[in-house]
Amino acid sequence: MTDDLNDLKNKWQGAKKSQSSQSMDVQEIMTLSKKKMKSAIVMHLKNIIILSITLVVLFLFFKYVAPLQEVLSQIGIALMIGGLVVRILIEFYSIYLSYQIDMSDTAMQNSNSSLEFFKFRKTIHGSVMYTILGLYTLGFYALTPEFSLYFSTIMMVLIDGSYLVIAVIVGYFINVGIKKEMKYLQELLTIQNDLHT
Amino acid sequence: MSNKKSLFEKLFRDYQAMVRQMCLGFMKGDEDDAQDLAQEVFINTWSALDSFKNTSSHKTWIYRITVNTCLKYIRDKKAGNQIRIDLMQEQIAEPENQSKQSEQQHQSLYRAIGQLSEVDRLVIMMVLDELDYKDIASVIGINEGNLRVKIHRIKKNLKKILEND
Repeated sequence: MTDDLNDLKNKWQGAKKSQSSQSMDVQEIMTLSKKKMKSAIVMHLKNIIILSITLVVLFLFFKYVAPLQEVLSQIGIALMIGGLVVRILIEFYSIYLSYQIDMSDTAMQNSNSSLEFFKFRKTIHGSVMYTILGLYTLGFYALTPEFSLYFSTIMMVLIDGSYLVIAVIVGYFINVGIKKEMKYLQELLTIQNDLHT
Repeated sequence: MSNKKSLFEKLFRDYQAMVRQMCLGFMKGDEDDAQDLAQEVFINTWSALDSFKNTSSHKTWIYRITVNTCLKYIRDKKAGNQIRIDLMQEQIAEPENQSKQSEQQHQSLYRAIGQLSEVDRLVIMMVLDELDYKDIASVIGINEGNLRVKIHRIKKNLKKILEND
């Protein structure tokens, strides 16, 4: 076994020497690193920006375009806007957790913090997202009675019906997201198991 | 900023060959994937440079980033594209046009360690790189006793692989 290992060591060192003759461009790596750091920040902020714009548009719509008065409508607006606010806060926490994953930690620590992050994401993309979508839908349909005072029945059917289609599409993407998180989790658990044994 | 840049250049100069070699071993001799992976390691090194604390040597620190980047790379690929990885099991690189004897020897080395699990592959590559057990333990995050048991088991597996080759 020692001979085999020594033979492998010799081959390994020989292969390593041949790597010394090849070179990557340090400037290119630094440029790529800066670009990647920027795009990671943009990617993290993208969801927050989209959700925040939706929040502002909804707020302005209900404040200036359709200032609904009935209690049921007010509850509906609160559910829709509240759901979005909670979603934005969750997104911030998710970013915070992702920055806790330190690539220079030990493999075990890195795997633990990745596991914590993906467990959180699985919960968020699963039950929490479905709850928020459910409350948002409830809030949306709570506006129907007061809206129907101003719109024709056909118009109301179109509005309520099209929302349903959108909700189903969003539900589908939530499901796809959960499956992806599950794959990550399974992979992480396999790696953790390998690290332990 | 210039301090960061000069430190990065030094780390790059000193550990480039080691990182490339680890990545090549991890990717079972696939030059293109290894190149991507090595690039990713140095991108992560640059990103983590501000948080470097002098609690470990630069060498151990780079090994940690390399190991974590390799494991993340394979995790991302498996989660995002299972087929690609399945294909990878089969494609254990053929030597490119310049089929020199040494190149073939390197490929047989990558083929042998490529049959180990990802974690075992990383551990044995650090052993082949003659890193101290104490340092390997601090890269992986397990105690030295457990590491010795692990290495003993990996060596036994590797012996079986070599005998069957």
